[in-house]
Amino acid sequence: MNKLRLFTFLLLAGLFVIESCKKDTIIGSAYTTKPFQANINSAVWAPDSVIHTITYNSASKTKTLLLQGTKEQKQIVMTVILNNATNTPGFAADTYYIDGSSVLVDYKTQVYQNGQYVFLPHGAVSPGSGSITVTSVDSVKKQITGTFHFYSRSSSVDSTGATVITIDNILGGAFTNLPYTFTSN
Amino acid sequence: MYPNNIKRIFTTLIIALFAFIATSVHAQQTTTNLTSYFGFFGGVSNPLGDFKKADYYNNKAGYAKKGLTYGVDGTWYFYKHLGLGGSITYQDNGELNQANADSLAAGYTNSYGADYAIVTATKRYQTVNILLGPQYTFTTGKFLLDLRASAGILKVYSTPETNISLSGVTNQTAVFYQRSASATVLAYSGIAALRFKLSDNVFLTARGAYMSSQGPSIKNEDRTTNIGRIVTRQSFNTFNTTIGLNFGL
Repeated sequence: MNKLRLFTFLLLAGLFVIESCKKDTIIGSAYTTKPFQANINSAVWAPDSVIHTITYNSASKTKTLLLQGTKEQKQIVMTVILNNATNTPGFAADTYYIDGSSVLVDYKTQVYQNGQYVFLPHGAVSPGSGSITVTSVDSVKKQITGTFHFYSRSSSVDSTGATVITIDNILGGAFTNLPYTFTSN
Repeated sequence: MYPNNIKRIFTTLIIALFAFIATSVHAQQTTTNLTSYFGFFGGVSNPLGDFKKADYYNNKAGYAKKGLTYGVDGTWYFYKHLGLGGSITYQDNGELNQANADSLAAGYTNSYGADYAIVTATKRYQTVNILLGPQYTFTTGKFLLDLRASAGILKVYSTPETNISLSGVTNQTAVFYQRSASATVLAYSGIAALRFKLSDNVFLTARGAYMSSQGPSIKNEDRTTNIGRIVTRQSFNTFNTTIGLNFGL
């Protein structure tokens, strides 16, 4: 009888332990680790089609850094032009402010126009609306690292005739050890 | 890892067996059947091999954890030291933890080239196995060593379920699922138990039980492609270490 009591007690204790096991909900998350990414209007965006080049033009003695990424009908194109540059595969580490002449940035979206899909600027990225910072360049491995942020401003007229201003914020942009090609012509 | 564990377990059992035989040469031999017994046990269920692994890139990895196990066990001796043993065992092998969910999210992000992934994990491994098989018992003094090979069924009540949400993947915009499984499948087991005679009919028992099963099939829903980790079957491999009490019948 005592054995039966003990057995029953332990069995019930075991069942209690099992029943009290919490059925948790665990939520895990991960952001992309791609070397070129940004937040476009608070959503992570990491392009799957990219162009990264540094081109030296011996006639104008300019060096042009081009960083371009495309994904999901969105495209960012950033250009930095250095004057009086030398014909080397490196690029000066510095912060380059968008000025509309030597530092140019476009935020484009894909639209259907004249029977085909094309990327067109979604608003204007005006001088003073952001910057590109090149923090390091490995001219031997041809890798460039830096950050960027800017906003693009567009306006339209709604059905009531009122002007609607839209701001696209491109923040937290980063390119990390991004491989580039160097061309001299 | 898995084969090494199995080798280690069987090597230990074989050494224990020979050691026991060696020390029981002069042990008292019964001419009648040993006393049949019934009892209960509780302890820890240790996952082994792929069942234990936490590896996104291994579709057999089960992310199982150590957990509670308990059950009832008994043997009927029909010829001297030879008997027919059976057990009913409940075991819990845990659920995905935060690191597992983050790791899966990182894996799906890479596999799909996604900008962002969220993995929500629910449910846990909960099973009951019912196993039956022949047992031979060695005796020496107050100690008895039971060795049993058994087979039977593994009733799977639940396995971890995950739903995966990806951002920035054009052809997989819907949440997709790895569903929890509930099924009854075949299983086999090897058990070694050392019983210490507390009194004529009461034994304190230390028990090790290896159990293996090919496990249930796993359903995957709402995928548009088979990119990335996809689990279609989850095998079970455990080694349960328990203590218990047995009572002679």
